[in-house]
Amino acid sequence: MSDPRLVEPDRGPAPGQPGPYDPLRLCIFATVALLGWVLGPLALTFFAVLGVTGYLKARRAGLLRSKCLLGDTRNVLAYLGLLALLGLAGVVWAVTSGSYWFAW
Amino acid sequence: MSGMPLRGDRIHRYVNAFCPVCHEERPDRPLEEVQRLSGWLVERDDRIWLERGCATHGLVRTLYDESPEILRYLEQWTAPTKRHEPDVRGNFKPVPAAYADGLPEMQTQHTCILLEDLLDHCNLKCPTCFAESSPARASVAPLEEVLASVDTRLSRENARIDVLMLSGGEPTLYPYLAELLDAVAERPIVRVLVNTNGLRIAQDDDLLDLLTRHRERVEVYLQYDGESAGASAYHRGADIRRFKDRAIERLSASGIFTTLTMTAALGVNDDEIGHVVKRALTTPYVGGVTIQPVFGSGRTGAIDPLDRLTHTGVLARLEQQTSGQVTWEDLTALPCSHPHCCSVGYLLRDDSGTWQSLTTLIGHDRLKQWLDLEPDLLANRIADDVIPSAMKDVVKQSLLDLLSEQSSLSHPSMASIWRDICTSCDIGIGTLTALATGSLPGQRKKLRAMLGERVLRVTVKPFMDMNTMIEERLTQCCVHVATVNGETGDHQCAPFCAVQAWRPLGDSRISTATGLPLVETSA
Ligand code: SF4
Ligand code: SF4
Ligand SMILES: [Zn+2]
Ligand SMILES: [Zn+2]
Repeated sequence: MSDPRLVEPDRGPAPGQPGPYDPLRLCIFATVALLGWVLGPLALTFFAVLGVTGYLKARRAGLLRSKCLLGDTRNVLAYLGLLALLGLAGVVWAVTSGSYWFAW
Repeated sequence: MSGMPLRGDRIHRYVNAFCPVCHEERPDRPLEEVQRLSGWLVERDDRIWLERGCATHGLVRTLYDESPEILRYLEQWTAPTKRHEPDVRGNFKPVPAAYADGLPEMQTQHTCILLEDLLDHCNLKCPTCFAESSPARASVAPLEEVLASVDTRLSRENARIDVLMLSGGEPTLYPYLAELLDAVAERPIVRVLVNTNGLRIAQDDDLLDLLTRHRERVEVYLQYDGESAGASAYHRGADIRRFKDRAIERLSASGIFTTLTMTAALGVNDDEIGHVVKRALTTPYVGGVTIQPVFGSGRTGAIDPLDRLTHTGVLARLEQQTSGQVTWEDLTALPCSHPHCCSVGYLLRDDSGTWQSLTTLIGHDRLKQWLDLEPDLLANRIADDVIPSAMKDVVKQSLLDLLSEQSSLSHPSMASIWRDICTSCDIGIGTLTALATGSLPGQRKKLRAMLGERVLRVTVKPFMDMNTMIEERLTQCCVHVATVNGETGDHQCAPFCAVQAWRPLGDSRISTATGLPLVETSA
């Protein structure tokens, strides 16, 4: 049993050896995929709307070009708007067909 | 990257400490094998932690104090310490090994309180007893040894002991108590405190008469843990509240100055501190309250070293539990020992029946100035305008006059008073009386009664166990336990906290080292 009084000093990784690589991003990707699968069109709608608002703000603040592949922020906005519509359609379809969006 | 990131905490003070884990693994190890470790007090999550590096256990962290704010406040109250005479000259050994030969050269404070453990025997077996006393332990120090120990101390203290505390075990069971009190009365000892659980005081008329006979000099420190049955059972192993009540009544009725000493533990009776203070405020001749957060030396085992009641925790609880009557700002650190070791405050009742603290009446800044040597200037200012007229009488008679020994009564100097509170450190109200009676022989009774009803001294005494032990407090300690040198048999003494914590020192206490089996006497 470990004594709670015995503590690790507050420090970074030991110098010289960077320690084993932490492939954090791989975990993040998998989690995003999981959320997408579970929440389906609802998640798409949510993030697309979030994106639209975010880019609208950014454009008003003067951001004309994004690091996004689509370049011009207007293109990005159009793309995100489309995604939001798709998401909404998916939600409507899922609810009316009763299939909902869970696989089980 | 831009260099090293910040530490997530803030160093409060660098200290030398000891490893509690090593200590628990080998509590009986020789003192020479105890390592002093580099460490620090550090502020994190609004608490003060003690961290030290142990070669075996790495970084060891324990809770030191609950409130950084109050601890910083206490640290402002320091005063010059007094010279001491080491028990063995040339003893420069490190702490704690040095204490095997008594007070070492590197001690920075003299003996304010000499504590004599008269016997290991007790009529209780408290689960939290730091002396591990019980009915089964019957070792009794011979009277000659106790007096020899006292005389040795007198010889090293320039022929004056401020406070002699009789402890144990249970000192009222000491077969030679009457002889001892008579012998002590013939010596230059200002104050005698009897540290008792009160069981015999509650029942034994002869004992009460004895104490009453000596009441000009003797005060009773009565163990009193609160009003709940739970507190009594936890600390004392049984519900003995009716004995306590009876003891308080009898002491008060006999005009014996009494201090209630409360052992407080988190989750047991830390919510009864206010009750004990209020009881003291309302009981005549209960002149003091001492609150001791339970510490882990001796029999106590169940303290969580990461979450416990501490000095500043007791102070922080005062205001709410006394409905604002006492707050932590009414107390200051006792300026003679280390500021973490003890805090003290005086409460005075004015003519309208309102209790006020000395610090409120005088103001922190002025108090500080006194400690910093501006006596004359201040004395005049204080006398003129600071003390409300309603309080003037009380303050003048109960404090100003009392504490100035070479008193110029017509021209009382408040400045000397505060310094004298240190001189008479830990003496309690009775001392003020003792001093006052010297200068006002005609008014003895009146003064006594007034003090008994209108002045209360509140102290908090956080003793250290190995989870909180730091060297600098031992170095400046002024509460010394009588011990006997294992090699030479000479009488000597050592800091209370060290004696309780390290077994070899505990075994050199006078009662254990010189003790003989208890012979049942008719007492
Ligand atoms: S704490 Fe006091 S009363 Fe209790 S066993 Fe120890 S010596 Fe006796
Ligand atoms: S007995 Fe302990 S707490 Fe008291 S003054 Fe000495 S070292 Fe400090
Ligand atoms: Zn250790
Ligand atoms: Zn002192």
